[in-house]
Amino acid sequence: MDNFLEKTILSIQSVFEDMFYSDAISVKKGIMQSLDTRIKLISLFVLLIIVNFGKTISFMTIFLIYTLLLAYFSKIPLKTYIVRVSAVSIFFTGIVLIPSLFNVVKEGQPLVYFTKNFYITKEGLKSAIVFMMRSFISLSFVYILALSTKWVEILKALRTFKIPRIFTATLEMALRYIFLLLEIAINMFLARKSRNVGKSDSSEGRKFVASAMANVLIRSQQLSDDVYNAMVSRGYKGEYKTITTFKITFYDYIWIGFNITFLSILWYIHP
Amino acid sequence: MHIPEGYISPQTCAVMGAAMVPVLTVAAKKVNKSFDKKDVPAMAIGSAFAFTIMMFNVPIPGGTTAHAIGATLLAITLGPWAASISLTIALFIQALLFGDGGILALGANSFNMAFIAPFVGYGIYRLMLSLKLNKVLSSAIGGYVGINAAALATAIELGLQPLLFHTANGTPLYFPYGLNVAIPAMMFAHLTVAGIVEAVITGLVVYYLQKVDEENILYKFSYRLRGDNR
Repeated sequence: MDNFLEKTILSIQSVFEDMFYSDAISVKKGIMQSLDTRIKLISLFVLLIIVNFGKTISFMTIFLIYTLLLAYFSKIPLKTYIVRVSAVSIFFTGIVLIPSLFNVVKEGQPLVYFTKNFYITKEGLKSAIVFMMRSFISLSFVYILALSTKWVEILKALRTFKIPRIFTATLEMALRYIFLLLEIAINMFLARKSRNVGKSDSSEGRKFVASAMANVLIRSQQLSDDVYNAMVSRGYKGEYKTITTFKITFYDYIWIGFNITFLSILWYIHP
Repeated sequence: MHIPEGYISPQTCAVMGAAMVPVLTVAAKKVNKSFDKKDVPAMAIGSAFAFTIMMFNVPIPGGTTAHAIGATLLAITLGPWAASISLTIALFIQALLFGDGGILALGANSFNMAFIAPFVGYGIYRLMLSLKLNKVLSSAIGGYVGINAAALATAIELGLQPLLFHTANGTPLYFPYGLNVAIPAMMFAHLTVAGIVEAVITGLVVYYLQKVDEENILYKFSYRLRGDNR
C-alpha cells in the first residue's frame, strides 16, 4: 500500500524534470526560440482559437502538419513530444469517445455492424477523429510554447499585457515558491517511504497525506512571513518595479508575415 | 476535473472566461482592501500550496489513488476571494507549464475549480459552523459539497456542447455526450469517490492542525477579511 508514496514522489519528480527539459530546449536555436515572447504568445493564442473552430478532417490535417513542422524546426525531440501530447489527446480522449462512435449515442449512417441495432456510425467516427486531432493540435501548441520559452520570459511578456499587478506579481512569486514547496513535499514523502516497513493500510496512508498537507500549510505560512521580511529588507513598499526589455526583430516580421499568408491561403482554399 | 483543450467550443471558453473577469475583479478589490501589504506573499504561497497538494496521491480503498483539490481548505485559510485568485493562478501555471487543462479552457476550469468550488465549499463550511458543528466536520462537509458543485458545473458545461454546437445534420462538434450522460457520469464519480476523498482530506488537515495547536493558521486571514480582530 505504499504505491501512493511512490506515485507522489514520481509526479513531483516529473515536474522538476519538465522544468529542466524545457530549460534545455529553450536555449536551442529554432524557429520558436528566435521569436519575441509577446509575439509568440499572441500568435499561438490566435492559432489555438482558429484550430478550435475547425470542423473537418482536411482542415485538421493541414494544422497537424503545421504543428509537426513547427515542432521539428523548433528542435523539439519529436518522439517525446508525440508520446506526451498523445497521452491526453489520443488515449484519454479516445477512451472517452468510444461510446460516441455507436448509434446509441447519435443515429447515423452505419459503418461497422456489431448487431443489427448496434453499429458504429460514419458520423460518429468522423467527429471522433476531428475531436482527437483538434485536441492533439491544441495541446501541441501549448507544449511547443512551454518548451521553447523560458518561464521568466513568459512572465515578462505577461507583464507587458495590461494584466492587473496583483495577478502578475502573485503569479511570479507563486512560480518560484512552487519549487520550494515541492521540494519540501518530496522530502517528506521520501522520508516516509524510507521508513516504511511491512504493510500499512490505506487509512493510515490518508492520515499521512493529510498531515503532510497540513505540515506544508504550516511551513508555507512561516515562509510567507519570511518572504515578506526579505522583500521589505530589499526595499519593498507595496509596489513592484520590474525591468522589461523586449525587441521585435526581423524574425518576428517573417513569422507574422508567414502566418498571415498561411491563414489567408487556408481561408481561400478551405473557407 | 480539468476540462482538456478542445472539449468545449471556443464560444463556451469565451463565455466562461468572461464570467471569471468580474469574479477576479471583485476578488482583486476585496483583497486589496482587506489584505495588508504583508499578506500579498501569502496569496502567492497559497497558490504554490494549492499546486503542490494537487500533486499528492491519496490512497483510497481498493488500492488505487486519487487527488484532492484543496479548494475549500484554501478558502477557509485565505478567505474565498483570495483563494479564488490563488487557485486561478495555480490552474494557469498547470495549463501553461504542464498542458493540464488548456489555455482556452482556462476560463471554464477556473470558473469551476477557482470560483464554484471555494465559494460553495466555504459557504457550506460557514453554514455548518453556524449549525454548531465542529470545525473538522464542517470543513469536511464543505469540501464534499464544494467539489461536487464544481463537478456539476463541469458536467453542465460539457453536457451543453452537443446541444449548442453541432453540424447541420446534428453531429456534435465538441464534447459529444449530452446532459443526460455527462451529469450522471461526472456526479457518480464525484459523489462516491472524489468527493469523499476531498472531504476526508480536508477534515483530516483541519483535525491535524487542531492537534498540533496550529489551528490559528486556518483563520489568520479569513478573520481579518470579515473584519474580526482575532
